[in-house]
Amino acid sequence: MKEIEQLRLQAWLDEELSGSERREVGDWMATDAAAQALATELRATKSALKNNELGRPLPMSGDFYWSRIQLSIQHGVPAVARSSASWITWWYRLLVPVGAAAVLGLVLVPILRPPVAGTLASFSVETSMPDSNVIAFTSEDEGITVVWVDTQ
Amino acid sequence: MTNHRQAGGWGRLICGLFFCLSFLASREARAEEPLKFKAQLIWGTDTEKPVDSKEKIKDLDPKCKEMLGRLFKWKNYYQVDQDTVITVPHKGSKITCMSHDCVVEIFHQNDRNIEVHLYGEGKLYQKINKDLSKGKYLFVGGNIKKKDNEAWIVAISLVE
Repeated sequence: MKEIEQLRLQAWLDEELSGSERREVGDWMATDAAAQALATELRATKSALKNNELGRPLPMSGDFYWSRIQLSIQHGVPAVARSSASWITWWYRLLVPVGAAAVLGLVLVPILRPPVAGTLASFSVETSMPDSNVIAFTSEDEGITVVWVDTQ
Repeated sequence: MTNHRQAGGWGRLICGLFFCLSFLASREARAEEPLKFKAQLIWGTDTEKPVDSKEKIKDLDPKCKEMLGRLFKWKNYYQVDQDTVITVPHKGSKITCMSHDCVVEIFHQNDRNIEVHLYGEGKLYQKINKDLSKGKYLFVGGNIKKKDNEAWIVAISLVE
């Protein structure tokens, strides 16, 4: 028997087939001895599993137990693990952002520190020549500074 | 699974700290390297380049010539002698002769801040304190004595 036929037979036993397919498999079963034998075996297996499953008693009432699981799924944290690791988690949540902020400060403060007064974007000129005029200007856009000494 | 994630987070934090400290250490090391400046003595004039001259008169590089053309009135700008590279030690100074009359001394103050002392005929002429970063120019100039309509200009720029 082909695998697809075995699966169709299983689906027929599980009442998963539509009306027309169900009738088709039923007609096939009536004429095929191998199909009947397989159907008998599958029914026996299903019954054995259903009637002989070990009982699993819950520690609390079934509704309460399942509602706790549902809450844990919704909140995304295992309900059982939360109580034992809470203080570790709390420290982890505190120290990681503080550490990240400290690292960011270490990097940014030297880069962004304010300029020393009188140096950045400014300059000074001192002349030692008597009877001279000094004209000075700077253009940060052009990247030039000019100091002109007029002695005439 | 929670412990594994926490361990991974601490590991990433330590790696990040190590990387940042290495970056800062290398930055501080680079900050103490000597600075190299290029100094050019330039002659501004309306006359053409002399055929023979005791000092070497050369054409100026186009970028500098273009800047001077926008700043000053002269028709021509020539470089006197060759480029002078002045290596100034960190927080130190270096003196160099541009010509027999012109001496330049550069003091490194901090970061990119320098003080330029210009000497002419053996005397301190000008003191200029300026932040000079790469690609920027400092031009110091004046009229040449007894020569109408000609000028001397010292151009200083940071090379590295």
